Amino acid sequence: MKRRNFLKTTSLSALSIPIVLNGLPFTSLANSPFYKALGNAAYPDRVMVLIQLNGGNDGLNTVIPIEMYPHLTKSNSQGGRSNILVDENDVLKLMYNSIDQSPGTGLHPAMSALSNLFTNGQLNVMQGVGYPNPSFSHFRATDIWLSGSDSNTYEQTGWAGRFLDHEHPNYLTTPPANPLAITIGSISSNAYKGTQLNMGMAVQNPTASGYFSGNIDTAPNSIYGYELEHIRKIAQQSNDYAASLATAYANGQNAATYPSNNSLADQLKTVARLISGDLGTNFYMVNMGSFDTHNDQVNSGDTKTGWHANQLQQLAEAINAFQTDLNSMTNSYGAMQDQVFGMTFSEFGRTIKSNNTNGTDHGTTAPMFLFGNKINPTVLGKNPEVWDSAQGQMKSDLDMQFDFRSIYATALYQWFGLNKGAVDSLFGKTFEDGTNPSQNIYDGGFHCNLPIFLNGGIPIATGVEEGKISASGIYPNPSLGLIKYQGLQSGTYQLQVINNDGKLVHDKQYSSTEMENGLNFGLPRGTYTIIYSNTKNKQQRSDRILIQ
Amino acid sequence: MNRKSFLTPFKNKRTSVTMSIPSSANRPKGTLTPYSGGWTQKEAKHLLRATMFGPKKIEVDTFSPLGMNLSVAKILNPLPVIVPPISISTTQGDIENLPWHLSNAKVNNFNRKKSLKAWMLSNMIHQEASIGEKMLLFWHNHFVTGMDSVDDARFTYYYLKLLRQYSLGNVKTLTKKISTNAAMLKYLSGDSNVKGSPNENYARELMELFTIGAVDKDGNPNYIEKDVEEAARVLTGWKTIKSGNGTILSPHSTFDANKHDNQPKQFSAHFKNKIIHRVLPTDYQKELDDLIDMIFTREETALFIVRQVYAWFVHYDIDAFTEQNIITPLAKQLRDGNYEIKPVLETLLKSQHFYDQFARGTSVKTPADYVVGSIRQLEVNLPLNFPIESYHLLYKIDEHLRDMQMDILNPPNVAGWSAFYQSPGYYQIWINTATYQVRSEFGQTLLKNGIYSPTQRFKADLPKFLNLVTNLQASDINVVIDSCCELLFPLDITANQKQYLKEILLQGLPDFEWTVEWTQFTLANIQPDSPSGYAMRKKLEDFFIEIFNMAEYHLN
Repeated sequence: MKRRNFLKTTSLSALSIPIVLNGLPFTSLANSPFYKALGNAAYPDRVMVLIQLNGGNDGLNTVIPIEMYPHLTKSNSQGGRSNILVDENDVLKLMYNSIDQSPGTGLHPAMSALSNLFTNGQLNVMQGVGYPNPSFSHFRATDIWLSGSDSNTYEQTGWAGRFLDHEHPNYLTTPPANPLAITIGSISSNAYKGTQLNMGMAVQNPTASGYFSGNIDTAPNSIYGYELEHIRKIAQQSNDYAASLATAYANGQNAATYPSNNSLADQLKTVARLISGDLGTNFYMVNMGSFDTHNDQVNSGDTKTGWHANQLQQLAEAINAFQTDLNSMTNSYGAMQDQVFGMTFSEFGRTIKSNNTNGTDHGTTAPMFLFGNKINPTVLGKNPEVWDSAQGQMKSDLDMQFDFRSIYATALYQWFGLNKGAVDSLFGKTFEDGTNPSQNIYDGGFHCNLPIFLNGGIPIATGVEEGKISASGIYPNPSLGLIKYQGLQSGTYQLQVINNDGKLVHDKQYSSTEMENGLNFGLPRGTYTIIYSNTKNKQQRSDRILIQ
Repeated sequence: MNRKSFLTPFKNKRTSVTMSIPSSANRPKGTLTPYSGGWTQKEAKHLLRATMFGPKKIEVDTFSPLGMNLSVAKILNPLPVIVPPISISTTQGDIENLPWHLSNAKVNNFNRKKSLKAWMLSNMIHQEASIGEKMLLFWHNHFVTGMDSVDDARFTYYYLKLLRQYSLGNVKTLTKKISTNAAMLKYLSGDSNVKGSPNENYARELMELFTIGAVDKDGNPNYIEKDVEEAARVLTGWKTIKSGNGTILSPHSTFDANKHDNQPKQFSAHFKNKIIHRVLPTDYQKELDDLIDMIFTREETALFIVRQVYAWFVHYDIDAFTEQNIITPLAKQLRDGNYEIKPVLETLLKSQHFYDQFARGTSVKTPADYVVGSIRQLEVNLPLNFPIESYHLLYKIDEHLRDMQMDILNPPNVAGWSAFYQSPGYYQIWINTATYQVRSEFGQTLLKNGIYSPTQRFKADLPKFLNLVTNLQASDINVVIDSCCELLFPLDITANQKQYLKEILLQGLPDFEWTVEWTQFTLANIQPDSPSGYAMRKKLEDFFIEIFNMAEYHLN
């Protein structure tokens, strides 16, 4: 009642002049990427997919430090994990790690799909991700990961929610036309919690037969059932974004075959389809449960099989199918593989030492997978140490190499193009951005320039706007601030610059000569729409430009 | 006043039944024969949900071992006498601690209206285990007046006081009293109903909406226009008490014999051509009693009132079976018992029909059921020791009710809230895409964000509630799910749905991890607002928000 009526028009209503977007009538562009860019996030074509592995994934059984076998093969009474360890010969070796000259890193044998992705240059492995003084409570640790807080501070908002808050300060009065963040499931993730409300929405997975929602079970054939169905129908319709989601879903498609009986694959399939349908949502959260392997994580006698192996296989196959799907599709922003990167995370890792029930208990750090076509395809960090050579004994827990917030910060800084000051303020930390040449990214500190993306972390302008804009006469794009025009009809032009919130931030007349020589509006980093109209013949056109 | 069209509720009702609820749907088939099946928590819960606003865990537990007869006897206890409202503002000229309806200080009606709404809500939230508050709302929806329209909250206070007094009493007597109530006289133009130029507003509603109804079940008229005109003449002379310049002198009414039409009033054959005529000026007032007595001799009056009661406590859908086996015998009981309402309620609430499996969970919660019921069931406590603060909070709660299209004390028109008569849709009118969102937002407010007064916060304490609802067994995740569902949903939800709710708390973790997390949380003895409890509280917030969003939660 308060928010519903604002959709679709208000982001532009601040401007009274009629706008012609690239010569097409306004209404026909209502669903175009260009239109969405005006009311939506900084980078409507930039997507981050978060895969939450619930329960605490056993990192040592996922990304396996081959050099540690002499220690890992010890019995659990000696601090090792011989009863659950896969045979060294079965490990899928990734590469020779260039960071510390260790003998190599491998994946669990059930993850051949991910090892192929690595070979294809679309997978990155980060070792030892965590935070100081980790919590071993599932709830609290999950809370820390989703909020981005310290171990001893408590944050009501989510890390992505704070970013979206920052990007959309007028969200309440002028909500964007499409959802900013989506959780596939029933509850919008706490990662999206903003200061006033959750900036995301939950989407029940329409593709999966086995995926249950509270509203799905058939209503009984009674008056009760009749009233129930009515309310369910209304509940569906009352979502502000029901229509835009339905449209994106209907327009979208999948080009790859996804594994069956794989809930994660079902969820990612939906994500790919929504991206393909030009939904323009920045964050997707998907979930996979049952990583809390205290018991029977392997089959005794055949340690490369069992519960955890099945989990890892499903994870690997789901990610691989998703990436394959992205690799072969385009949407109106361009090649989808260039728009998306994904990341796995779990609330904690598990103990080095196994227990007597073929399982492992709550531990500290764990590796993470990042995937995508713009991902730096390497292993970052060194193999985790399980042997404390100084003390001459097994370690009880793994050390941290990367603070998980450095990965969020790098994503915000280098993928979404957020300025460093904002990145710092979102986490209450000072992140190193690489301007200090002596800094060491492996020091476990706060960095927003981890080498997880290709091209040294410069935002990559992708998609259809880039091409259109360069053809239309505005350049360079992206720009550091100076914007030039070419091929203008000589005369006087009214220039109007609109920021992402639909606010007019600059409105002035310039001569064609001035425009050809270049203008610098001193704009903060972000995406803008620039409309220029010839004061004589009233011709208008508009461009979208990225200021770095 | 506020009258939109000539309303024929029952006629509309009949056409919609075949249009909306599928004919194959299972309906309650039990009759008025006393229910003799088992009396478990489920039966107690059904009784309390229908007669109260959201029964608390302790109330369900109290009624479960009582059996039906004792339970119904207890629930039919009369409303307790309650303290009058206080002023919501201490700075507007009203005197603190002096109930404002007695105050002769300069009137601030705006604050009095707010205060009265808060008082009304407070009575509902703090209701005893009694049908009284729900009957009060029933009568408010039946004998409608609107506070904004009456424009003097003191009038509305005395109107409510009258309804409270007769909420389980004699309908005929109440009808006589309400006909001369000052709020009603203001609301339905009684002041301008005078000898020589009668105003038919009240007389029309008296017949059409308050007593006999426009038509019978077959659509035949129950009276003719002349009867309305004659009734209006009977009522001439009743008016509010004003000074010569129109200033209200008292929130009560008076009778002015000089304004009364003292000629005979001739009614139609519908009323056996009865003539009402009192000759002595001292007897003029008694013509009103004659009129009401005349209307209440008609069977249709009893039928009409019983149908309203049925729509309020069971369902709007009155099919032929229900008309014959429930409405007709209850109407006979009402009439034979000289219109005492309590025995009729007792028969209904003890009937096989009422406890029929297919009569349970069939109503859509009114906004009052939803808001007040949620506050009660989750045991969200108002700061009673700070009455002014409490009133501020209550008035904010009232804003949520208004957003949900239930402005208590201001029904949309003289016919009451349309969910009880408007075809098609009926109860479904309460829930549309806008009000569903508003309901959802209220859930978030109550469960997560809280409602703030200048110094207080009003918010559910979910860990405390979990201990309460599980009888301190909250470390068992399955007890948590089962006990919450049992209290908060009208019927059992499916195993799949329970699993789904469980997943919100556990997200794939094995059951024992809940025990670990809960035990750690409780051992830490975390204060309600302490940040170190965020993780658990966020889980619980998500869990209960989802319950609030489920369609089942919106049924009663």
